[in-house]
Amino acid sequence: MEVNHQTAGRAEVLSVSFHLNGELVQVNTSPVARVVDVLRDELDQTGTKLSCGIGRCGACSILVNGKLTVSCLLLAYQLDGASVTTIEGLSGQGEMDPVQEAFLEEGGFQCGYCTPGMVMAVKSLLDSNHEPDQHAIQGALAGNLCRCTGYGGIIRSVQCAAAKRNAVR
Amino acid sequence: MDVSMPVQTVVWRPGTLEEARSLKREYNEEARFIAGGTLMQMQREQGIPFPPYLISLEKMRELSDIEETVDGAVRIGALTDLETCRTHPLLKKRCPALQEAIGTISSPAVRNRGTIGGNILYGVGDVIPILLAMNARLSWFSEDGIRSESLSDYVTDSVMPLSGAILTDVTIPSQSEAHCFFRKIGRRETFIASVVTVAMQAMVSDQGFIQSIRLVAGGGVNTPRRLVKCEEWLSGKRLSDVQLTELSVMIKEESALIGDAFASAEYRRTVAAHLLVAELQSLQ
Amino acid sequence: MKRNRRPDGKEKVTGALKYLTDLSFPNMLYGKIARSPFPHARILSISTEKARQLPGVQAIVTHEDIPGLNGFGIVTPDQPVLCKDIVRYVGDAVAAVAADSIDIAKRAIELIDVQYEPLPVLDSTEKALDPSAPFLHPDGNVLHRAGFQKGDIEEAFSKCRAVIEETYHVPRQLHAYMETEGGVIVPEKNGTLTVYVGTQHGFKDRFQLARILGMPESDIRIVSSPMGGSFGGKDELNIQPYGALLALATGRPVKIHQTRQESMRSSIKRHPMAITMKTGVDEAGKLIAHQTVIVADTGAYSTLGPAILDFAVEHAAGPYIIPAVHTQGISVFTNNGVSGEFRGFGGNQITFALEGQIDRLAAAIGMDGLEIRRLNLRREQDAGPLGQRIAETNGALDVFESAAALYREKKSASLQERPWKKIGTGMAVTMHGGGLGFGRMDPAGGRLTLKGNGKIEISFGFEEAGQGILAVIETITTEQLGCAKEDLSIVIGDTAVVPSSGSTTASRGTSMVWHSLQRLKKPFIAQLLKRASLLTGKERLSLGEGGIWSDGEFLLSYKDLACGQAEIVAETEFDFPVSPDPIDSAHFLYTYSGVVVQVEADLLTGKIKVTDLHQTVSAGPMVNEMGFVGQIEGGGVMALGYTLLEDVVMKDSQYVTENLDTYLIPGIMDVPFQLSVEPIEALPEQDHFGPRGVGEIGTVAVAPAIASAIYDALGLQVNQLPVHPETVLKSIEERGVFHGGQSSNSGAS
Repeated sequence: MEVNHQTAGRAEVLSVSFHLNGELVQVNTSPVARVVDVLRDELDQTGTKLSCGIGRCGACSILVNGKLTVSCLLLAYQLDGASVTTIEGLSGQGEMDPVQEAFLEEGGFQCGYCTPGMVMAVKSLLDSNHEPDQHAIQGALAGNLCRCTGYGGIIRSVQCAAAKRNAVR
Repeated sequence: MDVSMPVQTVVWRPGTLEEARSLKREYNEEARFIAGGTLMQMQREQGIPFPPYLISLEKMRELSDIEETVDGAVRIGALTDLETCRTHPLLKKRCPALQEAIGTISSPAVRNRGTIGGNILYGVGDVIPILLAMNARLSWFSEDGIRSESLSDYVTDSVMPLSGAILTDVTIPSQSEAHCFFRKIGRRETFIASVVTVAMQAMVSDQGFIQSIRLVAGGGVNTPRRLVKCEEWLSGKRLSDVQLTELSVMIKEESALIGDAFASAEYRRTVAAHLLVAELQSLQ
Repeated sequence: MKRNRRPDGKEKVTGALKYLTDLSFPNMLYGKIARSPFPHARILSISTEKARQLPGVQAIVTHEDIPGLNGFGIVTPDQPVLCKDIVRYVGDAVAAVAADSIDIAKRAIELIDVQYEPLPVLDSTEKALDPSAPFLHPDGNVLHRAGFQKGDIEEAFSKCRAVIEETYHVPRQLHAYMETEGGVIVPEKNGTLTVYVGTQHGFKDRFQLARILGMPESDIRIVSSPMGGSFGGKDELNIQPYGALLALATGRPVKIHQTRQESMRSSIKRHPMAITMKTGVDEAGKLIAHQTVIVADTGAYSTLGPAILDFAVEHAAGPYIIPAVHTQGISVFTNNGVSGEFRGFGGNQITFALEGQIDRLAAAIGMDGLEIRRLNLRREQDAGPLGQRIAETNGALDVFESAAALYREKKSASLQERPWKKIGTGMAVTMHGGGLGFGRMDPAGGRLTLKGNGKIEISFGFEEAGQGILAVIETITTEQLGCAKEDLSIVIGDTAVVPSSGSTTASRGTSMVWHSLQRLKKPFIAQLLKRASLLTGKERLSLGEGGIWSDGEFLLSYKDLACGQAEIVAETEFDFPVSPDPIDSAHFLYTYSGVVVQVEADLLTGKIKVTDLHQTVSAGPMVNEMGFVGQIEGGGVMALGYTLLEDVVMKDSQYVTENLDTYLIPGIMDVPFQLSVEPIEALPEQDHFGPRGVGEIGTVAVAPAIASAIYDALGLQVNQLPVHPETVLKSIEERGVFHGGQSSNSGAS
């Protein structure tokens, strides 16, 4: 908790600190600003996309303290002290995450607009389940809509990514 | 028309229930409690603005645990996120049907943030039918201390929450022998609002007699409700003697589900009847 | 098999790619558009005074502020940019605001006071065609009529053994591209304008914007790729004029990115249609008479409504050879939003009806659905559906035989039905024309350049909406030239630097890239080799990876070849191939598909789940397997949504579905876990038209195949999309498949 007001304090502009992809950042913003806007507009991290704005498509999915979260339904004050991973945080130093490699190899995307959110959801799945079956894949990606691929390429990408990660292990 | 921008919402984040209560007392109508915030933010996007003050309950960690009570019931803190509920070992053992129901709510990302309390207070949340079937109770932190009531009374009368009351936990009594059933039908396979949701909990004796039964139907804008007349009609009957066609008619009538632009009342009632009757039939 | 990674892939999977709605510029303002709350009303007054007083508002524009033509539309510019007198749908724009923030712009929109006098709402084609209906446009409420006739239809019907007549209703579908409309419009210091907004045809946007802004086209630059999906939906102008007017009014960059609700309200949709077909067969099961009446709800404005109706009329008999055909179509103005271009372009609607007729006729005469198709399908040398000569292929029978074999296999497999479930198998076939059709300007072109830095630049006026045109360009160019992908620089999506290639529509892209390379490669390679020969004195040269090769040995890099010398350029312009027969709007290059699906019907709820979806597609040689499969699978699932889920519901011409919570596109659980696609690449030896585009064909025949599977499972013949569980459940009850809790289904209980 690194906030400029006390526990029961108040502020119209909140100074919120959190870790974004491993780096501590501080943003002055409305406490009820949407996190997707904070990321895209304040921090120019535009990899996180905005599509429906009501948590019904998953394009804005990020990890907050390791948990998959839609950033359009998350408010700035809720980020305080959190550790956030966005799509930009998955490929450090030019090295892509195996999930990203798999999407490239298997054609898990077309227009690419749902892809960052989809990749984050797959990452979240594979972090907790090394060999996801059909049921697990469908459950984990139920909240991420794709209009281009029909999900075929995405499913093949998930299976490929799981194999890649298991090969490394 | 006032030529200015709307007032910026201020967020309070009290650490204790007492603090939260006194803030609510102070700002009264101008303040609302908020937890995961997924529902309120969605509604804001759909045109319901935030009030001037939000009182976040998220810092009250004691409201986000799941435990077994001394009398064998399961107590779930109201601020427990839905995904934690869905995967919790105690619930897996004791209330698998509840976990199944929670698995039909929205998406993993939303369940990671949304709380079980928020889903109940939504009024038409998908946890309500199965909790009603399991005879769950709610506890409130209110002006006159801790109050407890059955979920059934809450959804029927909507007396609670008294102004400023905070839902603290949900308790599910121990009923290890009971058969539980839940099914939600939406317009899509998943990640979708309910059109029809039904739940049932039944105790059937070895001789095939229905010792006790609770039936619930809801869906869409329909507040989930117990089908008390059907329950009474069924109680004590031998399962194999139940006239299913008659029961079906009774369920349709008592559920009184209403329709909207996407599914008619007749459809919802019929589906509710089919699902409950088919489940009862499977117990024979 | 070619499984090339996409050139834009890495940027997409890492989130590094800047979509045009991701851009921001110094000093940028945010724009919002005020749209009519009424589907039909007279504007009495527009007052922007209060909104102007709001701090942070930088400009407000209304119809008074349009320097040029206050209208747009790809063919007929009958849609006002900013309405002056009348609004004709709930997306009609009346004003636009630029402000320091989105919140301020939003508030300013609320403060704009527009007084309306509501007018009678024409919320159906029936109402619009009623003689007492008010005119939505000066010439009335009929946008377009189209028809086709061959043979004596009445006489043919009199000879029929069986005749089926049915009316089919198909819904208003949303493109639901994940990236809603938007971008940034930047006024440049020299008085020109740069428009960073996605579109399927940059030059057409430039033309339309120049006309609206009263500026020369040369002063407008359109940067139009990449897009987060389009599917036909971003071909017409959307927010560009408003951003441009505001940028010019303020002298500052203006960003507009529509929310999903705004997009839902203002965007074009697929035409809802009511299609009545009367079709008859003779004793042998030969189709001999086919009569069709199409009524299309085109909404408030023209856009591509006429062409879509023409397309539906052309495909009314699809791949079947029928001696007497009579088709009439009418496209009607209403107050129901605006219908326009959408992947499939009228083909999806008409094919659902046509294949429904074939299944019904088969059932009526007790003939196998496969047999009736085999008997009536076109052969290689048959004329096209309008009697025109078309590029000969055996596509129709090829895809049919492939699908038929799979269908038989699935039908005969012993199926374990779960309690309260019924399984059904269905199939359908179709053919689909590519390009704009005879009599329509359909120019294409491209350019190859050896740049000073040694890069071989290949450029087209095509756009990347996700369909994979970049990968197509890379694959075809490297194959045709022999160079490596590292030697290439691909340039698209910027009117300042690309040649005109026509619109990225009508499954043209892949085809036109291939045709361009056929024309470009000879002169380009000749020039490169000539220079290489002069520089090295060697002969027997060829292009290869990294540079010029001689007898299998690397000789000279492209960089050395380019160094210090003039650029080598080859350019081509040509037209999309058309039939030698001058029949208006007739197509020449067709693709074919055969679809097999399996469904599981839930007897308790009436819900239908597609458990298997297979498509065999004949479209010439496959350029890149990954792109091909992606287009067909994705198109198939889009069509699955069209069949079972998707409907932009309107009530009194107001949208009931406002976002993705009520307008449902398929999620991962709604589709078969394994989709299957079989390409048939064979073309006749004499064919010189190369790969055909496959952007649309995967969407066309899925709906009738699902309908056919539902019939197989339940005996229900659906005539309306999307298939409502309610309709299915009613039919189940009426048919006694299931009675009030007691099952007559052997699989149940």
